[in-house]
Amino acid sequence: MARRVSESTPLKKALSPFKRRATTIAIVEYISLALTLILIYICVCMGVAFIFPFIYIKEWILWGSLVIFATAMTVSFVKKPNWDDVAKALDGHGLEERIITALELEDERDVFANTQRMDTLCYLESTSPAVIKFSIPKGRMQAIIGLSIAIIILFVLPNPKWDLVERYWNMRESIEEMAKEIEKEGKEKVARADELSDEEKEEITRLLSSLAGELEQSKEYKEAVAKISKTQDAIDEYMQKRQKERIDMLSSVLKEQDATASLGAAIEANDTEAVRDEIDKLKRQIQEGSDRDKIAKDLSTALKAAADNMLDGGLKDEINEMATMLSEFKSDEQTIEYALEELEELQSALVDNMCQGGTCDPGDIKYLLQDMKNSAIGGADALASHSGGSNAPDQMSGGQTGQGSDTSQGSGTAQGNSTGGQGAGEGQGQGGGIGKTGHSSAVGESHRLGGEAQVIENVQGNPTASGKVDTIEIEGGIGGTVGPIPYNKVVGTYRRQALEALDRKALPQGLENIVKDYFKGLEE
Amino acid sequence: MNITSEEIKGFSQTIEEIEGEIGKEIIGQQKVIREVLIAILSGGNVLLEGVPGLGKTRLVRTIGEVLDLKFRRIQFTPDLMPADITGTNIVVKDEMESRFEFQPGPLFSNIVLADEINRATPKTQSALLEAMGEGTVTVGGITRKLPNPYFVLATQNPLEQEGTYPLPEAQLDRFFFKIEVEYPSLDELHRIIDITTVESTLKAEKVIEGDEILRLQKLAMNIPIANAVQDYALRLIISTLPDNPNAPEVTGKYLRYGASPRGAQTLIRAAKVRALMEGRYNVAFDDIRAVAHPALRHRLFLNFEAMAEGLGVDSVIDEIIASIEE
Repeated sequence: MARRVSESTPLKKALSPFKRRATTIAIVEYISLALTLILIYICVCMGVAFIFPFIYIKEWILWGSLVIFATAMTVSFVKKPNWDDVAKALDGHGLEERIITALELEDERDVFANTQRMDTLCYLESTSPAVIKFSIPKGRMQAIIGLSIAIIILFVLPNPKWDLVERYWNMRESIEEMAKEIEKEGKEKVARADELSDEEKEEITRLLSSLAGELEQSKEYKEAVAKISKTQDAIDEYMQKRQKERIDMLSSVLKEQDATASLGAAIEANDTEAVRDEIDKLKRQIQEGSDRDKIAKDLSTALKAAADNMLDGGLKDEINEMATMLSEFKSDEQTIEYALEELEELQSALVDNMCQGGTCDPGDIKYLLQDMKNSAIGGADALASHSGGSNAPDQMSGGQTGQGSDTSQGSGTAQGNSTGGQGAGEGQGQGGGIGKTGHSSAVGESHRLGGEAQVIENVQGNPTASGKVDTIEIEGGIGGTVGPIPYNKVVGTYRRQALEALDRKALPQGLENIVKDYFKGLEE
Repeated sequence: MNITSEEIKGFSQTIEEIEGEIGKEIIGQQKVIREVLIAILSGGNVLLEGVPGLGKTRLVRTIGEVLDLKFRRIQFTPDLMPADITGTNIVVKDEMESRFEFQPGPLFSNIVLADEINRATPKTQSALLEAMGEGTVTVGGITRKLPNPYFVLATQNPLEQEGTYPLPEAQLDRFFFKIEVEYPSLDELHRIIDITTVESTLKAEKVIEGDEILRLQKLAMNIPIANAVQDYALRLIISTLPDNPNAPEVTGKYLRYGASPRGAQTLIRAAKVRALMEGRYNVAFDDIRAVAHPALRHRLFLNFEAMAEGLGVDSVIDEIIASIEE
């Protein structure tokens, strides 16, 4: 136990330089011990890195070394030399227990104690602090040199796992870039999306920001894909909710107007056939009826009232436009023709909105997300092909990695002879060939990316012109249970995205008409 | 007792003077001289062991002269009776009456040289016990105090064991030190011959008197010893006990008996004197180690295995010392 020595005693003053030196030496010794332990730790880490890909080896080495060093420094502080230790060190260097005896006799004032103390002080004055020497054990020095050489050898030796680690970090970098891109471009696209209300823009921006933040935390492509899918679902859900509100409001207002009461009821019943019939009925009335001016006026009033009560964005603009056109209706052939076209467009818009459950689709944003997801999947594929499939998000039975859809969709002319379809998360089936009739012998796992892998074989394409729908039930996809998705829920999105793609000139010339005809055929 | 700092500091100088004077008549044997002085200044008795002719008697006589103490030599023989050394009551006749009067034996002096003590019978040897232990002699029911300071310096010849009576353990323990007198080196032998074969002009002079010796004894008793050093000494003593489970292997293997608490007292007292002799005012580990051999060699008893292997007590002590950390 350390003896309490008064700070002002001559003995204490004389011993202070020795204590400082002893403390310094103790710290140096602990540093050398910490260095030895750190080198051992690094050796172990690098050895482990040969057995499996040690992705965070740098972080482990850095933090582990810091912990070892901090522990050593803490211990050195706790166990720093006390007066007795200094006394022993000095006594061992020729002072022959003078110091330790003097410390014990510090409080004594008899002649023996005084004589002994004076003798000790005399010796201390003639002794240099340098007598307490730095002494790192020889074995420790040898260990430091040996471990350093071992680390260099381990570093120089080719380690096949380093390649995987490097790929992983490239992936992380790619995901981070993806997050930045989503954050930046997403906001720009949202700002440009005129079909969205301010509230919708704000919510989508929030979701994108949240996604960007989560992506930065993602450690795997699989995780990134899952998060993107989740955000896509969240945007869809939100937009569906908003559109449902629009449709509900539209139907309630239309029901209150005599001219559109039956149309409102059809919309409320979510009966697309009835909606088509009601609009066809209006078209016939305008085309053939003698009181077409009144009908147009009533219809204009009803649509105007509906638009006034609707939420911003989406259908509201189209209905407003229709109402304005009908308010200026004249019974000439050109106007009638124009009105009929507008009614037809309204019919399509209404059916589309109803069919897709009311999606006012922020196409550019979804395209951006899908693009990012595709990049992530591509990266995952590349990583999987190098890591033996350990990081692969999914595997194909036909030897290809596929991005499947929730719903494989086959349709007459557009159904291609594809061996490995790639589709969007929402279930877009895209064949490799267009315009040929055939069937897919093997299709990529039709599931939400990031989920449990499943292999689906022999999905038969339907070559009929009627566009028959095949629905495949998949379980275990990301984003919860995925059940059968009715055709009428997705066709609107497909059509809208296809048209947007046409607007962006994403398809080669000559194919545009095929796409248009295809969707037109679906409506028929 | 008022002791001054100068007295403490002057201790080593006095010892140097004593050693210098002794050195005039005793060539070499510095270690023996120093150990004898340590024992005397600690108030202890000494058993000197060595072959005849090494100057043991001369050493004791010289010490007596330098210390100005009354010196008596007793040659122990098998027919020596206790009364021959303690003294006896004799009939004294004068003109008036006849009476018994105590005639002091040779024990009544300051320094007694018990030469070849192992040649006397145990009865006579035990007559020394009271003198050595208590500093008194009891004859005819009357206890008489011996002069102070009082030292018994006994000698024994390790070679001739025939017709000897080895000292019992209890009596050995009463000796403060057992000092082995080594054969002098060639140079020392030359100097011995040079001095003793011609008429010598060198004569040891008195340095101090009996009272001063007593004062030096008391002074040495008060020299401080650190707890760590005392603990070291006591651990050394405990390590000589064969029954001690923490004792070094050599103890259990080669020792029959270990040192008694008197051995521990001897160790500390001798170390204090040695520290002062070295001009130091505290006891060091080196002091303990330096006095361990003379203090313990007659207190440790080897077993048959050690004797069969030809081991000496000193080598066992060395191993025990080496096994104890400071």
